[in-house]
Amino acid sequence: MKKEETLAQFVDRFMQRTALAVLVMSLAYASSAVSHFVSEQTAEYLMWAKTAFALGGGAIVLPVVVKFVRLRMKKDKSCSGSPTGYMASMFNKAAERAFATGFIFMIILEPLSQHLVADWPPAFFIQSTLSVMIAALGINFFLLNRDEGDELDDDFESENYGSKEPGA
Amino acid sequence: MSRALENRIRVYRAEHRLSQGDLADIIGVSRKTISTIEVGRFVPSTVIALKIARHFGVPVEQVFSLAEP
Repeated sequence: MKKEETLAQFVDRFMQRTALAVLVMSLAYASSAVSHFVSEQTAEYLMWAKTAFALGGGAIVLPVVVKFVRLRMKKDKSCSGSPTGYMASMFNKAAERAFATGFIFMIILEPLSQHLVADWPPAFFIQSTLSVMIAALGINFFLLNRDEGDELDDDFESENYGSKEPGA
Repeated sequence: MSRALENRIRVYRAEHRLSQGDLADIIGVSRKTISTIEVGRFVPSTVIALKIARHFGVPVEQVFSLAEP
């Protein structure tokens, strides 16, 4: 029989879905940014792609958002978003890295926008910055969560435990 | 990864015949949180550390300790 998902597991799943959704949304912003420099027909295809990415991102995150809101409406304090678990901690770390990435990207863009690419549309700079920042959030989250062999075996019968006191 | 903080969670789990999932459910965190604490990949919050120690009925220093320099 399948074990019911605990609240903590749900919160983890919520963050994983959110990270995946922002990664897809970054493609939507990237499509918009690129559309300023291609032919009209290609730009139209990119707008369709942008819509598809945006809908895809929404479809990924919508089911867990609905469940999250339902739990919050029941005033379940476990869903208050308290950042104590591993996933919440990694999400915060990914957000910090995304902010730093976006900041560096804007610092690079700032002189370029004044001199080399002064005639580029302002929308491009906003869309590309958003794309880079949220892509950095999603990528960093999945990099931080990649499996590094932390799944220990729980078979206690075949091993010997309790050998060492801390600091002994 | 943090190797500065050692822990004996697995020892206590074995003594209490608890899987990572069982302990996670009791503490109110996900199994991933327990497994990453055990291998030293994640330093838990004070609240989680105290909850784990309280569940095993021991002072928190018996579960977590600083690694010898």
